[in-house]
Amino acid sequence: MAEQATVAAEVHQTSTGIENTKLAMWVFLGSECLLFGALISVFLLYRNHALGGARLHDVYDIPFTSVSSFVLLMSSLTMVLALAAIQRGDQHRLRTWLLATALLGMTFISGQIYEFTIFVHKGFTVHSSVAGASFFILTSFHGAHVTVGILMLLSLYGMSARGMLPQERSTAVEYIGLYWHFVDIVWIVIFTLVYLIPAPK
Amino acid sequence: MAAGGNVATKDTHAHPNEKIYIKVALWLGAITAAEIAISYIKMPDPAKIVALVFLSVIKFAAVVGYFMHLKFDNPALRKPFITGIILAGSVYTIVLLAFTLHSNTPK
Amino acid sequence: MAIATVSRPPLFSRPKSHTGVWSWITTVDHKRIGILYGFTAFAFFLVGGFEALLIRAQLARPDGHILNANVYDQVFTMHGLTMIFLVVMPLSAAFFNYLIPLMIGARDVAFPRLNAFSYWVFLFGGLFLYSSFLLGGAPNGGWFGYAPLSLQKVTGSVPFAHNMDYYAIGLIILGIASTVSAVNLAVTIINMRAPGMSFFRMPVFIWMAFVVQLLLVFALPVITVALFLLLFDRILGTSFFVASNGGDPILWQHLFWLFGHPEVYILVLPAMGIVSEILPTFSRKPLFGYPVVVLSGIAIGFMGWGVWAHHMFAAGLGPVANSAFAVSTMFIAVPTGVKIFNWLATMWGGRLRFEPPMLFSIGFVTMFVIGGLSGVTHALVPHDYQQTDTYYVVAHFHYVLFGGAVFGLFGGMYYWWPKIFGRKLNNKLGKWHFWLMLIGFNVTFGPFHILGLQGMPRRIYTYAPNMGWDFWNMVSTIGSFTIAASILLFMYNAVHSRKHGEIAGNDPWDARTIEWTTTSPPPEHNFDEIPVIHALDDFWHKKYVEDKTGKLVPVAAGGANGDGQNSNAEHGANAEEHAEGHGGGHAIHMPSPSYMPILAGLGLPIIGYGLIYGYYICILGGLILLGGLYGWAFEPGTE
Repeated sequence: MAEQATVAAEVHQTSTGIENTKLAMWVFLGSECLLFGALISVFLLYRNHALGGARLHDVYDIPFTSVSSFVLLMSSLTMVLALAAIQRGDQHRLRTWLLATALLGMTFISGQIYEFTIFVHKGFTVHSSVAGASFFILTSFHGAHVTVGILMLLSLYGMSARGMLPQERSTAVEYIGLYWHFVDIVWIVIFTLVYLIPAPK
Repeated sequence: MAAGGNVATKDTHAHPNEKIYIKVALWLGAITAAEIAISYIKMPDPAKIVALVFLSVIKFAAVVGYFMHLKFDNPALRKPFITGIILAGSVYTIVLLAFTLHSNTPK
Repeated sequence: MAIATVSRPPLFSRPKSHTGVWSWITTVDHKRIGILYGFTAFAFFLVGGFEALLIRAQLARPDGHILNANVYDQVFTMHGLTMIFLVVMPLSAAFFNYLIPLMIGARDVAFPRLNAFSYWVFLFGGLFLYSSFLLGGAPNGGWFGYAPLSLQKVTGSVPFAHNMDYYAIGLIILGIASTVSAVNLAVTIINMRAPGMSFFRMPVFIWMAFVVQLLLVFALPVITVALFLLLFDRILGTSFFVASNGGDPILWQHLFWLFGHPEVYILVLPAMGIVSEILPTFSRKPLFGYPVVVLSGIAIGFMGWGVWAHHMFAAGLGPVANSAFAVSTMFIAVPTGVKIFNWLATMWGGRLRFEPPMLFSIGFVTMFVIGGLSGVTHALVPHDYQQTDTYYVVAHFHYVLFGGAVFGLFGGMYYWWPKIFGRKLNNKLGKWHFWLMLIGFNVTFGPFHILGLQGMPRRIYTYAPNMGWDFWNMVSTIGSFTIAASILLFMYNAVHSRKHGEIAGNDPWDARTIEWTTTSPPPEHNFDEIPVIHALDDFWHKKYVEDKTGKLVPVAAGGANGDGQNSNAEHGANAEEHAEGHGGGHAIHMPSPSYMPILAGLGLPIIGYGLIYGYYICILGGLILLGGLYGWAFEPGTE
């Protein structure tokens, strides 16, 4: 029969043994692949369509973005440490790691905003060309996803602080964690395909 | 899928412990450093692209497998996600090919 | 056996009623949500039908004066948008919502409040779209919104017309409703089947529903991106689809049809599922080749992703792309054809009963074949060069979508009406409806094949008198009013049956699937005890066995027409995490009603209006959405 320190107090039976919400999250993430795939493809299609204006590789700063990317990557570590904490009943550590994840996320977003200001200053904007538009739409959609994630993480923090996130509800952290990691792996793809691969001639 | 009775949900997996997570994170950092280095090294573009994509796939798989726990979870859980990736990869590749291989629009 | 729904404590925040308007507004019961979808979709059907009559009135004669070009563009665009997004999809959703839990032996869907949210967002999205008529003009660039026409901001003398802003934002909102619902129903089908109901013991309707949810989940994001790009071109001044500024209108077509082709299977697979349930019941024979029908449905779902550019043969993709997509398009005809043969074989040798559900199903099969045949001609690229953008294409898709999907959906209405409302629709009126609609339909759309081959283009608001198109256009218009008459018959039947319809028992059609084991209508909790499934068509096997000569012999005791009690009930699939479902004698806790879904849903159209009229309005909408979502997250599923 069902044991679990980590699943909801009432026994919950499904045809596959997988929790409904967990399955739903993975189905949703599958659909998000199509969303970001489209945005990345549009970028790849248009990255050279600058009509003589600035292109991304004229204005970007790889070292800076590398640090940003590393920050987001590490936030996945703190996220999974947060999950490990609640799964063993450590509310204090849970909050520490949740906050760390949210802060790393906010650092990433701040880095993005700073980067974008530089780009705009150098003439690479949403309006300067369709190359610019594609870049900013892609990164803004990603940034919006990160922001939603940060809001959810802070909500979890607040819930834990009020004693509303006991060990039995660790799945909430797990599922929001899945969302957070997804946002991270999308950035892994974006960082490689948008920033790192050689600039078109 | 269960043909018989319903299955109670449970923590079916062997949990990686925190040490493993940190190890994965260190590898991720190292691979990222390698990617950045490669982006600066002078080499033919196709080789660079292959190398960078290959490394990012490893990072992707590591986060999905370990942090998102897919390696240790019920295998059924992989289906919706992998379907999304393969579908996206296929159709968007075809679209980009349609634009690059033969197109009437100016490049 | 005491079955009680929990009476909730008199909390300020949680609604309690089971009757009255508020109970419908706060319902999370899949059956009620299904009924809401059905009524709303039917209302939109009447509106879309009215738009069709306007089109036909305008085109009945050359140099028509009933609608000017500007108005015509809005009417035909909204006709398409309405029928696709506000009628066929939600009617299918109505059946999915009502039937999926009942057919798989569950008490509700995986996420009841999310289910309600999907309905309200659909309603608000449809109203948002239609509000455009009052706020400057409805979308006027065709349902397919091709760029650069869709980027146009000047309509008539109006300097900044928002018509296509409503298109982009309206469809994004509707897409959210469908995506959310698709995740919900996919999880329900995967995870909440009764004990013993393996995938290959599921009814075909459930299989088709499952494929549709997966198609929705993967296809909707693509059009969502396309619509955002369109919106940004329009309101932010970007140039994604503007060729003169580095963009490419062909990108719109690729993204749109990447969604659009799976969409047509989303539109027709539910009806195929319905027909696959009706034909066996009214042939008193099992579906011929169940595994093949199921696998064909799955194949159609897969292959549907590989054919999208057959909508773009004349767009200039080049011979390689055109050839590849022509071949893939021809291949996809195969699984569809296979299904047709399976349906025919199901009927062959059966004891056929030609009641309305059966008539509509046979209508589906025949009309869909005609539509499919014209479709095959489109697959041949040189043919398509002749046929594309003519009325021949209009004939094709009306045969498959009206002759196909709509006929199938009407069949489903007649079939499940007694289960849902407790009374049958009148048989005689139903037959009149069918024949009048079949004749009217063919008189309306048959001539389009001829007109198309005679060169009449699509999407024109009128035509010159010397083109030779006058006769068939007039014939078509007469047909369209015949269809309208048949719909009036149906509506009369529906109203009349409320008081005078034959009262239905649990199983008025002697059917095969387990929803017919419940009362008509079923109780809120669906099943007193969750059934245990031992076979495909489990209910049928409980009613009948075959003797040595293969004749059907009713099972002696306890099986037929009972109240559906199975002796081996076990703990069954539950509606939500917090609900308990126990076999007889225990209280069954159903998920509680909630205000949050409609509240959260309200935020979306407000954000939509804000994108058009002022971003500060978006903030208001966003706060409502967030408030609704937080309220939802923090209220328990069941109290």
